[in-house]
Amino acid sequence: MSALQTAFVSILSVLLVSVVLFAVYAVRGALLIRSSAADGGWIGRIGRTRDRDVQRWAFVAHRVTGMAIFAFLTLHIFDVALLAVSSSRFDNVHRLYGTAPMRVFESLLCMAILFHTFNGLRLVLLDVADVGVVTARRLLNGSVALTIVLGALTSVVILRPAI
Amino acid sequence: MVAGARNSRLAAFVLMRATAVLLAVLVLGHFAVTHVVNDVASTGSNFAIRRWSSVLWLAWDSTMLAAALAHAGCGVWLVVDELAPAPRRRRVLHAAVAVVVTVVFAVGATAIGVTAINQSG
Repeated sequence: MSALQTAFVSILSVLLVSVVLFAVYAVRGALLIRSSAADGGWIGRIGRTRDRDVQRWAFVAHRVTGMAIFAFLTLHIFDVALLAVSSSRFDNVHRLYGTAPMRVFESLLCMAILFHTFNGLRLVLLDVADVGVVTARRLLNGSVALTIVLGALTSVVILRPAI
Repeated sequence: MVAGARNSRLAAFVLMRATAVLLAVLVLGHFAVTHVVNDVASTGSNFAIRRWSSVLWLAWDSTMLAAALAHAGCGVWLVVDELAPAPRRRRVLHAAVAVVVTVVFAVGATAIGVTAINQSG
């Protein structure tokens, strides 16, 4: 591995670990809210519905995928910027993108982008139109379904050259 | 809340949603072109330079860069608001967000500009 490739892999690893830690922190926060609502007896349970729990997990997933995409974006802008320095350096780092481990990463990144996009568009729609709780929930189910289907199809395309 | 803060919150709210819709098209399009239509292994410097010789792709990537960083900057700013209630800590983290977004934007914009000028010259 060249020095640039080592730097790319090292920074990507640090970013991945940071995102996982952030995810653990965010999930723990959501669980704390859940358990404090459950411990509150019948008063605590008033505001707690299955739907609210689901919305909270959607919120956590949106936040974690957003942070993950931003983390990768910062690194990606730097590796693309190598093109302005020299084509050979750009290609040297870019070759990593075609390796099997990076293709797995790209498939996961694709899933994160798809969920963040569809759930994000749903949130924009909820801001501009009063569609009601039931439709909001159906749209969330639709976002998750689209993410799984399109994510699986894209992953096959991304991973096939490595298999 | 003073009027200035209310206006900047409204501006952030609108910016977040406007860039969201824009990015839904730009980012999914970018990912489709670099991972589905073409295999990622064939998107090396030749591919990138050829793409940036077209005004459409220069406009696409520049808009995507600006929109993504504005969207991400606003998003992380709000995360800091929630996770760091202490005013001092919050100011430091907000400043860090602003610095990271500005530096990354400068690097990206310079890269697009320099590559485009190198090709046309």
